[in-house]
Amino acid sequence: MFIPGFVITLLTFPGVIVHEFAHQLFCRLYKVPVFEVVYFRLGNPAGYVMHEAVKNKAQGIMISIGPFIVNTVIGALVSLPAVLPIFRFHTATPLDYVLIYLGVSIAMHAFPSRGDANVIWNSVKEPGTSPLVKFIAYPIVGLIYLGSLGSFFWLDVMYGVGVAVGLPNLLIYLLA
Amino acid sequence: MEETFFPGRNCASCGQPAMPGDHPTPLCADCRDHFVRFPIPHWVRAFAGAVVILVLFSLYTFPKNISAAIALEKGKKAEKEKKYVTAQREMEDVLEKIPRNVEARGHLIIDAFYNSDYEAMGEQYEYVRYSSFDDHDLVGQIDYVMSKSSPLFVDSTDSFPKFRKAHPDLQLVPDTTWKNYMGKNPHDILALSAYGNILYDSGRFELCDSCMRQVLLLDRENEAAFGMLSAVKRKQHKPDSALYYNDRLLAINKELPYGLESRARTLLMLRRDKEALALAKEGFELGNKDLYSQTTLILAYHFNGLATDRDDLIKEATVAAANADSSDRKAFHYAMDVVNNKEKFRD
Repeated sequence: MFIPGFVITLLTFPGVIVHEFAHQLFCRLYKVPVFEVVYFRLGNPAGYVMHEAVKNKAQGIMISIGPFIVNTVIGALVSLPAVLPIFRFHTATPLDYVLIYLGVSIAMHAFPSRGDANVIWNSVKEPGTSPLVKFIAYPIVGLIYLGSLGSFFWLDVMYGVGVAVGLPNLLIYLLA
Repeated sequence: MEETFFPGRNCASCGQPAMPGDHPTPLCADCRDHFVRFPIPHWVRAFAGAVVILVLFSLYTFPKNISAAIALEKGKKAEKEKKYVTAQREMEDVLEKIPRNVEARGHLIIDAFYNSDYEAMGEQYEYVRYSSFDDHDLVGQIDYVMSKSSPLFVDSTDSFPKFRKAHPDLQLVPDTTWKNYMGKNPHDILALSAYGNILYDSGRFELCDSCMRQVLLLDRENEAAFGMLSAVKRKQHKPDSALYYNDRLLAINKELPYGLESRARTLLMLRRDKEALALAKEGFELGNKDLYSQTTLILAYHFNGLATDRDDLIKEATVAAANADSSDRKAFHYAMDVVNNKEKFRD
C-alpha cells in the first residue's frame, strides 16, 4: 500500500522531533555549536539541525547516527509498559495505546536520513581521513542508503514495530 | 537531518573578534558557548515532560504485568516440556495478578487435566466457555482435554455420576450391577476405572489388569490406567512391567506426583533405592503431600536406612491416616507392615 511520505511523517511527528533532538544532543555532547534546529515542519526535510562542520570525523559520524541510538532507546522505553497490556493480556487502557503510538513513531524515525549520510560521506572524503574511520564510515553510509531505500517497503515502520513491540516480548522470552 | 554551516571569517553571530583556535567557524567565546548550548525550546521540554509523565504513570502497573508475562511464558514452556504441575502453578500465578486473562485460564484447563485436578479444570472451563481465543492451537487442545474428560461433566441418564449417586459406596456394589452398567455403557472409561480400583482393592489383580487394558483400548493415553497397571504389576512381582507403565505415565506428564511416586515404589522393588528416594522426594514436593506421597517417602526412607526421617514422617502420616478413607488407610497400613517386616515388599 502506498501512502505519501509526508502523511506518514505528519502522523509520526513525535519521532521527527526526537530525531532532531538526538542530533542536537550529540552536538552538545561533543561541544559542537548548533546554529538552527527545526524540530518539525510540513516540508522536506521535515526537520533538521544546522551545526558547525565537525573536524573530528568520529564525532561527526556519532552526531549523524545519534538518532539511531536515541530514537531506538526512547522508542523501546516509552512502549515498554504498554506492550504487555495490549498484546499479552488484553487489558489495555487508552494510555497504553498512546504510549505504543509514541513508541512506534519514535523508533521508526531512528534511521538516519540520506542528508545525514551525505554529511558523513562528504566528511570522510576529505583528505587526511584515517583508514579506520573510512572503514567504519562507508558501511554506515551504505546502510543508511539501504534503510532509506527500504522505507519504500515499510522497513522504517517494521523497525519501529520491532523495537517497540518485539523487544519487550523478546526480553520476556529470555527472562522466562 | 543535519546540515553544516560555513560562515565568514569574523564571529558569524555578533561581529566581535573571533576566538583564537582552529575552529571551522569563527565565533567569539560568548557566541560559541551560546551555540554549543543552543537552547531547547519550552514546547520541546514540555513535550518530553508529558511523555515522561505518561511513561511513569504507566510504569505503575509494569512490575505486576512483567512478572505475570514471565509466569505465562514459563508456564507455556513447562507445558511444552510436559511439566504440568509447574505449568499449572505458573498459570495460577498469572491469574492472581491478571484475573481476566483468558489465555492463562485456557492453559490452566489443559494443565489441570493432566494433573487430574478436575475441580480446577471445571472451574476454569465455566469461566472461558464463552470467551474468544486468539490462539487456535490452544482452543484445539482445550477441546481435546474436554472431550477426554467429558464423562466427568456430562450428565446423561446412564452416565457414571448418576450411577455413583445411586451407589454412594462403590465397594458394596455387586459384580452383577457393575456388569449390567458396563453392558449398557461399554465405553464409559470412568466406570471402568472405578471398577478397576475396586478389583485392585479386593486383590483381584488379573481382572483389574484386563479392566485397565480395556480402558487403554478406549483411551491410549489414560493416566489412571497406566498408574493402576503399574500398581498391579508390582503386586504381581513384575517390576519390569511396572516400570514400563510408570514410564508410559510419566511420558504424558513428567511431573505427575502419583507417577513419580509409583515409579519410586517400582525402583524400590528393583533395589534402586537412591534413585527411588530422589523420585519420592520430588513427588512429595510437587504434590499435595497426601497419604500416598507420605507412605511412598516413608518406604524410600526405610530402604535407604534413614530411620529418623522415616519415623518423623510416620508420625505425620498416622495423623493423616486417622482422617483418611478406607482405601488410603489400607495403603498406610500396608506401608507400616513393610516397615515392620510383616509384609514382604521386594524379593
